[in-house]
Amino acid sequence: MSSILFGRYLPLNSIVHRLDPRAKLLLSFFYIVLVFMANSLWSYVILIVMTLGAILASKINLGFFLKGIRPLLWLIIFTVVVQMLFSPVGGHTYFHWAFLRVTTLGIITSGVIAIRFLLIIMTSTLLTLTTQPLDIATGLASLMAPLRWVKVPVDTLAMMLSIALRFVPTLMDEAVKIMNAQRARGVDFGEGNLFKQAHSLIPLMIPLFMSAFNRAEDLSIAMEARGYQDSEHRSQYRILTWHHRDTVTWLIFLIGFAAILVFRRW
Amino acid sequence: MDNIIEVKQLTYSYSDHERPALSDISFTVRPGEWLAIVGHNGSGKSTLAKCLDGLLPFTEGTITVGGTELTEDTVWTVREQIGMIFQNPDNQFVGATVEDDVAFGLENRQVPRDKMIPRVRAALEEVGMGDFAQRQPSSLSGGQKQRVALAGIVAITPDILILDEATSMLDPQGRTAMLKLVRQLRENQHLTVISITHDINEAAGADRVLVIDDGKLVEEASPEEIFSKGDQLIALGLDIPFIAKLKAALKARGIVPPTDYQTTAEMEDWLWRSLSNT
Ligand SMILES: Nc1ncnc2c1ncn2[C@@H]1O[C@H](COP(=O)(O)OP(=O)(O)O)[C@@H](O)[C@H]1O
Ligand SMILES: [Mg+2]
Repeated sequence: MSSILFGRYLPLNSIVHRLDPRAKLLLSFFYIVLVFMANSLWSYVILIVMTLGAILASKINLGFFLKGIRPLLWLIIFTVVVQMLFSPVGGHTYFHWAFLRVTTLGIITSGVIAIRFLLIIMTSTLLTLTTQPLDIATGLASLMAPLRWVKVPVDTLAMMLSIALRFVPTLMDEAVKIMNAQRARGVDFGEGNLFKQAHSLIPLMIPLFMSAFNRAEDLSIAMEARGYQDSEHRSQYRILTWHHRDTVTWLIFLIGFAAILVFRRW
Repeated sequence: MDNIIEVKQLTYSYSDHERPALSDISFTVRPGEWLAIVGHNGSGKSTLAKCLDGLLPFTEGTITVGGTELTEDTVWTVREQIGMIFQNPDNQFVGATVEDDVAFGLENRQVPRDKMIPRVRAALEEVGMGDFAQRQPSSLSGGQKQRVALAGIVAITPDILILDEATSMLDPQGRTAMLKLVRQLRENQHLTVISITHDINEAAGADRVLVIDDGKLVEEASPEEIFSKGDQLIALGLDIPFIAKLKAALKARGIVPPTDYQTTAEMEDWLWRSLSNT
């Protein structure tokens, strides 16, 4: 489990790391849209080239990267097999048993799904590897800003997200401490069947929740003591700045996106 | 000059308790004074601190801070003048990084960003955390987090600093460093300090000590007077100081130590002198 890279941040000094999180979030979003629009050999080639190029630019070792997504391959293989057996019938039939059959069309469809799946996993892994969670949160909040017009409490949501992220390591440490304390009292974690494992989590979860509530109470008092009234009437210390490199990256990707649309079968 | 804080007949009860957490408390604080408040756990010290900062809605008694009587309408004016540090370093660290946390109070006051940047930097320099601006709280020690909390207060330049057992979760070195820093800040920023503590060294440095027991103010005296009470200290809720333990042990062996309060260095001197005399 621990070898999965998705969701982790790898501090390196590359252009991809330095890009504005908004640029990266938006690019990832449009990239994924185009993954679903691609349907010709060339459109996939362009998508693959874009992803590999981005990974290279991020200075992340390609072997390390691929190893990090390998645990997710099982998920892909499972999807592919299911897809192959149940997909629409067409072309030559290679294998037939009851209602299951493997046909040319089935192989092609599942191949396409595997590639799409892989590309999306690679892109989102790259996003989290090169962007700190806090920056993702700030970027998302900034992109959501227009929703203020329809009365979405964007600032409050951003504050909640930022505080939640800030307390993740604190609560993780605490969980480890509680687990050690409970182990010393003879509780076995992660042993026995699923039910037993879930049951053994109770002596972890209850103290953890108690402590989290106490922390929340303390935190709200500390915030009020420091002059916090609401999230709308505040100035912002942390802001994002859009640089030339963000515009240039966007232009490069726009060319790629346009090429995909040109090479796709309409 | 007038008193910076005046508390008159303050009584406060938490709604789910019949016994008041504070009953009929009155005292004053002079500007620039260092006031220590001691008392055992549950005696109402934190409740008192929260009342002073308008964090609890008391109905009986009055609190006046810097000439402004604390009411629902003036609570933000009063809070402007008070910076508070709490016990648990983790539970008051709001920002994602050190600099974000120092900026938190400034953001709440809607200070424009170009004014915030120099103030955050200066505050971090002041507490000796200038090199840690980008660090995340999980990579800091408890003492460093409390320093950041102090920087957050320096940045908003209040007149009064309230420490609610702010050093109690720190190791001895962290404690000493934090106290030294508070003393230094008090000089530089002309702060009035109220420190709630179990730590004898912290109380010893104060100009005056208030003792609270069971929600009542039971004693008000100089640290020297309080510490000369020796054995009664435990009853008052202070940790017995090492020096007092040492004196008791010496007495038990028939050696008569000086009776007035002594710092560690003074006691060390006295020991050396007595040893070289024999
Ligand atoms: N949030 C609360 N709700 C109800 N009772 C409280 C609350 N906080 C403190 N108390 C009670 O008020 C009394 C004083 O508590 P506190 O001011 O925290 O004491 P101290 O800081 O001296 O240890 C205690 O009896 C405590 O149980
Ligand atoms: Mg307390």
